[in-house]
Amino acid sequence: MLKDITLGQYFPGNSPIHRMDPRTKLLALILYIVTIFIADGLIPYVICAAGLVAVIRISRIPLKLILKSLKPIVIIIIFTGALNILYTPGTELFRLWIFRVTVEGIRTAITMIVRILLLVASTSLLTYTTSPMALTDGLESLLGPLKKLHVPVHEFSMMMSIALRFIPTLIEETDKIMSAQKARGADFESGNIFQRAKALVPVLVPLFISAFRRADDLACAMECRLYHGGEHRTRLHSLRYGKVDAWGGLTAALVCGGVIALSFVL
Amino acid sequence: MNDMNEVLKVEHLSHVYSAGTPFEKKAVDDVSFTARKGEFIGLIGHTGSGKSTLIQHFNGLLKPTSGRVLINGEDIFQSKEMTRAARFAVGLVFQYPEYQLFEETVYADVAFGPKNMGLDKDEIDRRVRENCRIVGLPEEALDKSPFELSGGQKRRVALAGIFAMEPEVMVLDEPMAGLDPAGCADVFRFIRDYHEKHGTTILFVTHSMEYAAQMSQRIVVMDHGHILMDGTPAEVFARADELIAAGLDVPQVTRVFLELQRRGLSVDPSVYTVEQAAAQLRAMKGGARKC
Repeated sequence: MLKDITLGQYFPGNSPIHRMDPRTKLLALILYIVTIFIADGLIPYVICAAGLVAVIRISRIPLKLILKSLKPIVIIIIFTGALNILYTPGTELFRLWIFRVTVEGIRTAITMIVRILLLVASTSLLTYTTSPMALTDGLESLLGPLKKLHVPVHEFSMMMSIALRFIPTLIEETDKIMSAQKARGADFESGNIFQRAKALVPVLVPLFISAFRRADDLACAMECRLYHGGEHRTRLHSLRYGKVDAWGGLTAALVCGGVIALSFVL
Repeated sequence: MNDMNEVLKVEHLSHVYSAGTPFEKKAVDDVSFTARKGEFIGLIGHTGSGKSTLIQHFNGLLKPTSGRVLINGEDIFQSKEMTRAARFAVGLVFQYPEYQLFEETVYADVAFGPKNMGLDKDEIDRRVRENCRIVGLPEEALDKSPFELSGGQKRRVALAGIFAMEPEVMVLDEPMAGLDPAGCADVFRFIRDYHEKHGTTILFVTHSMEYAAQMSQRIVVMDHGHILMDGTPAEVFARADELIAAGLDVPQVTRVFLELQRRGLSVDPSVYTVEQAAAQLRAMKGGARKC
């Protein structure tokens, strides 16, 4: 059951999207997100959605996986949709009990839902096509200028890589401990919410202990190899922009720029 | 008709991990296997041979992709109640079981399983004390925190926790891993004592051919998700070449005897314990004297 969590779930492949430099992908994603929040009107959103579908196609990530990443936000979507429909003032379409449903309300609701869907789908596409390590390397490089302001960028990115690195390990560990406690008759599936929360104690205590032990071991191993943070550290895989990045970046800039321009014109 | 002695039966069991993704892996492939009452079975196979996956089906932790698991002739997946009953009928000791300890005292931790079974207080008390004695935990350790104990003692507490559930079949996944030789010998003894006392069917997963040879009446060898061999230790270790080809080993004495045979001595290399080897050598020496 824990294996279904898709957070940071890298889906290996060898498409142009996979090979692209993480910095390009990050910048393109930021640009895309800005675009979907500026965009206005039907055509710009159709272009945004079509662009995303095209990128998903190129990346050869199964559509099923992207849809799976949208599943957890269904509640948020229903909530936003309902609130927008019920609370936006404007021309009344019809009355629903004490609420007034307006044309503007339905319009904003649809816009918001499309925005959220595109936002989540595009960000999960990034995590599907970029390994967590490449992602943190990219972030560190993009945030590099902040080092001048004495922001410990390297330390943050190291913390992030370690955290990401340990998510699957801890999930596996949780699975193992849960199985072991189930073998001793622990029951996680029945009872009310308090009973279920209490049933987790036999999992959480060993999990915390093992997490601390792992952290200790890792710190020791890093020190044994003389790790000392940012200055003068070189990388095994240094990031390099290539042809894919030029083409990908250019296309993203053109499409997003076009959509923004179109939204202002229309 | 079902043979009443067949406590645990697995029919054509297969298990596929992450079906439909690039990580798809067939861990267990069409395995059929029967354990009879009171048997002591050694399950051997190298890492990734599917043995850990297989044993997690015995108490319903994993659901087979295809095939059935029967306990006393009943399919454990036919209802939720049966699956839960299977948890108590088949005790499973995982690798490094000390990592599952969580209670404030040793007593409470050992009592966790029996408590989940819904036993009354006196019965729980009897089981906790009796099984702590079997694993050699002193009376005063019962009120200590399990986290104060040494590694070897934690292992004993974890073992007592499963022993106290008094299952019909007990499956132990490498119960000696990571212990020093003295600790190994201790665990080895507890398991045998428990087996003698309760007549429980024991399935014992191990890498060590020595232990498998010494303890088991029957040895099952797994390789690439299949059962490669299933028979008495003498039968299995007689097929030393196949074992070595599967990336496994044979007991050291067997290896010595194989080498002796290769160098032209007329010995029978199907020995697997030091006692048998010594007896055979003594017989040979006696024979030589007669000449």
